[in-house]
Amino acid sequence: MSVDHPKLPLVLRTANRFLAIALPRDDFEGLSGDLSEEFDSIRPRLGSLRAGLWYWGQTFRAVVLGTGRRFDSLREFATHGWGKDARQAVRQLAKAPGFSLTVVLTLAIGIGTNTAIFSFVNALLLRPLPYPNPDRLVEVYGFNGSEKTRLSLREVNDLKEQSRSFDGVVAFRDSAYNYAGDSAGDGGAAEHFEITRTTGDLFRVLGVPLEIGNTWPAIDDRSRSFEIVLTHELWERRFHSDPSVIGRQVLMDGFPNTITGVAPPEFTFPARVALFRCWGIDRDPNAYEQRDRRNARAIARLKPGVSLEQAATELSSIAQRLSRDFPSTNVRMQFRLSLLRDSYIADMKPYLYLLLGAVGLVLLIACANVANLLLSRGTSRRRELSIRTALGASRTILVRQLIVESTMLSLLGGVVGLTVANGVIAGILKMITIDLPPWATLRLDWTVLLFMIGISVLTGVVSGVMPAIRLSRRDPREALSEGDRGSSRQVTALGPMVIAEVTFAAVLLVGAALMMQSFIQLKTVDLGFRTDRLLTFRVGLSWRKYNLERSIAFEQRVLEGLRRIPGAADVAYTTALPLTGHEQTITISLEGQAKEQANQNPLVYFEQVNTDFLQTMGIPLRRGRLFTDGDRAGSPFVALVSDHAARRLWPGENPIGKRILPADAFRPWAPQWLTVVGVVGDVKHQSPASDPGLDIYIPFVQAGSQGGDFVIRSSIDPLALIRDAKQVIAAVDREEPASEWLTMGQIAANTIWQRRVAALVSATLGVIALLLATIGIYGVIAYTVTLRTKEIGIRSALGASASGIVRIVMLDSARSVLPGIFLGLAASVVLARSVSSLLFGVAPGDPATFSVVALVLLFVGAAAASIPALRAARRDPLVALRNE
Amino acid sequence: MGSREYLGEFEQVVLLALLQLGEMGYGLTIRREIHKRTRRSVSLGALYSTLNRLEGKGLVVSWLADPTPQRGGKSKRFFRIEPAGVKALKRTQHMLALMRRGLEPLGEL
Repeated sequence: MSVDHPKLPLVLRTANRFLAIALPRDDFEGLSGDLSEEFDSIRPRLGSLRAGLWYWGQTFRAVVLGTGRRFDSLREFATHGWGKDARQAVRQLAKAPGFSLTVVLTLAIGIGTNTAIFSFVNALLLRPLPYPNPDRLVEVYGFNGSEKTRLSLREVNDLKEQSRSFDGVVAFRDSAYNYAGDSAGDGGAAEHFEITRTTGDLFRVLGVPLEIGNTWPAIDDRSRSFEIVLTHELWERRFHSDPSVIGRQVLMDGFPNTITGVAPPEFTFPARVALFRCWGIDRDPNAYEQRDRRNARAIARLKPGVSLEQAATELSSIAQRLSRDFPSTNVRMQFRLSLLRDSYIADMKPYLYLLLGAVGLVLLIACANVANLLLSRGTSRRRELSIRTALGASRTILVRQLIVESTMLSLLGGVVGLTVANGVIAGILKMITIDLPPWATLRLDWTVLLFMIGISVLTGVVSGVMPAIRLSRRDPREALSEGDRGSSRQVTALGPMVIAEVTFAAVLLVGAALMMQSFIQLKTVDLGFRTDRLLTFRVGLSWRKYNLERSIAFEQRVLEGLRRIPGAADVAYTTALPLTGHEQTITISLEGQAKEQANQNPLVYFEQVNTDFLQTMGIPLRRGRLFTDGDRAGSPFVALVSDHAARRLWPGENPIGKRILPADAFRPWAPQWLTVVGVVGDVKHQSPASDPGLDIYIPFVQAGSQGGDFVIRSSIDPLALIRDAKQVIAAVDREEPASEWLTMGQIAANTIWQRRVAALVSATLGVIALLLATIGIYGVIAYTVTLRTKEIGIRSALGASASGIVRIVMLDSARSVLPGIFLGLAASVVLARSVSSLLFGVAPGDPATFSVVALVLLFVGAAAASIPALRAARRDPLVALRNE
Repeated sequence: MGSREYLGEFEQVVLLALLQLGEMGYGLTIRREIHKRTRRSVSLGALYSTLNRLEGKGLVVSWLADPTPQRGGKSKRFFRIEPAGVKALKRTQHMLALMRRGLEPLGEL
């Protein structure tokens, strides 16, 4: 029996889960079918919200009736012990709907935000990767000096041959394809595919058997690299799940590729791709033996019994051996490894924990608020409780009764909170502009539901226990004789609640303010180039069709075409645009350096650009000259270096005229000495938070590459140029795929998306916390004023002025708010230091931030107290006293 | 449960709805039939609860039809009134008629 109806909104599928639990099979089948049928028929008329409410209403009634029928013994139990308490609680709560609603909504916010953030934690950190023994899967990567790099295919093969820790090592990389349509002719349109190129072991190492067919052999030469494995999704969509596709040839990038297999449903790796293509080892030594042509990522499966540390030790001994045998490429190369899961989420983890902490604080504030409410309401129920005590109810029974009440409220809050959670999840997903790992699906599964129920019960107990103990600790005679006035004990019980609320709110506000400032700083940080109105896209040329001369010709023709697009002010080309991750770093030697010295040179970013690139990007010239049309194939080799690189490579010297020799790593041409002709501004390559790298630019017409990024600075909305730009490329070569159509602004924003999410979510939580705290302070002060009506009446009868009364009430508020602020800021000093790695451009102990938070809370405390204070001052003392 | 047992008010409503529907219906059509004639909205939960009770007494029988995609892949659970159900309905109506006898002049019943 399937519980889920895939087209129903999540909220309603949750309702179905409750139904499935409460009802016998036949009833569930018929009833949930009826519900979805009717839901579909009334939704157009009533709208989704009302239809959804109807659905939940029907579910609720069916569950109540169904549960009662199904568990007759439970009904029996309900008339005794806890069950009786529960019924009593329902009656009590129904008596005060306004009170109940306030509590439920407060808790719904607290529990809902927690459930939402927990859903992310669950999806990313807790749920296992969908592969067997996922804790043995690791990613292996390189560190060249201090910089994290990919590996070369040759190095991956070294690891495979030399290591004993692994049960399989696989190289893979991302790539793209233009699919012209099934060569057998399915009539479908041409399509652009993101693909993964991988050596054959991928499926075996991950432990995922193919649905049908076979993968290619683990090591294969390039002649077989036109073999592909389809994802299940592509097989269904374009090949109608036809099992006879195995062996069929399809045209990709103009070349026939043979389908050898189909992956199982939902499998994709490492991101969402359409198919997997063989990455054969190129027996051409020029390409294959280049140990520093590092474009591969690698995963491996640890052998049983081998620990991460043991594998790491082995990797470093292999790295040492390679650096001895191949000093020119591997002298500073280190191999490291991390769990595969961490390689996906390591950079999100701290933000997840930060948000988890923030929602935790919101929940604590909500708890304090609810405790306040329960205490205030409990005081007005004193008579009832006293009568019950007088009739022989023990204190335990009273405490239990009160805790059951608060727990029922928080469970209700949890159910409403699910809706809040869905909203928060949807909101956060909208803010995430990159793809989450494909295995991280956010769904309301049992873990999340149990978490929700768990924290609901916990919340109910936490917020209920203090009021319960306070309220039950009373001498019945005292209460009965006292009427409905409060005692001083009730008043003092409220103080700590306010202090706690203000403390938590202060911590949350400081955190939110620091995150927000970091985000704003990062958004406005100088990247070294202008990001506005730049459209970018990438073209990867197929190596078979394009040799170096032809690819230069291709790029020149595309540039000419782009220049003619109306609205295109400047057009540029580079092999590696900053912030895209396409950058390549290489080793260099300088003129006059001995070999050992050269090995100590820093890695530099190496970019082949067209003449206009630097102007188009707005990278300033500092010294010398930029490239001109005179720098072409056949003329002397020239280079531009960045400020930073000039100062690092030739400290205190004039860099103009110096000569650089790039390591043989980069393939296009035999090593050539490059003469520095100019110095240009620094550029940030990794992210706005990173330090600028060392850059060397050369004219692409002097080298040649098979693909790179094109940039258009437009005078209009850059995205409006996409259609024209696509036509330009199609006119030059219809079969070459252009991809990654993004504005430079989007690229820059994508590098700091975690910070954006963290900043915006924590700011929202800060506002919620502030609101809850305001309501809390207001509630407590208003209540205190009510309890002190008589005292205040006497004071004003004895001649206290209105301003005097206001002062008394305001001081009352200050007595709780000030210690709260103090404690909160003190805690923030400690806590902010632990998140200092997430901050940018603002110190964890930033005095301005702390002062502003303190002032805001002071203002909120004063504002919240002022209404009850003024009300008390205006009250006629005679009326106040008479009411007693 | 002897055969002399009388039906509750909602049980009668449900059985009458089944008869109106041509002796056979499923949850939603029964609910709509009741609403159409009486403007009374009953919850599906209560309806199934009553239908289950009637089935337990042998007054109706139910079976699951084949699942249909329109209902999220869920089957319809059809109910049909049994001869015993018709009998019980008649018996109850008759009892009510007996009780009403002589009150007609009041014009209220």
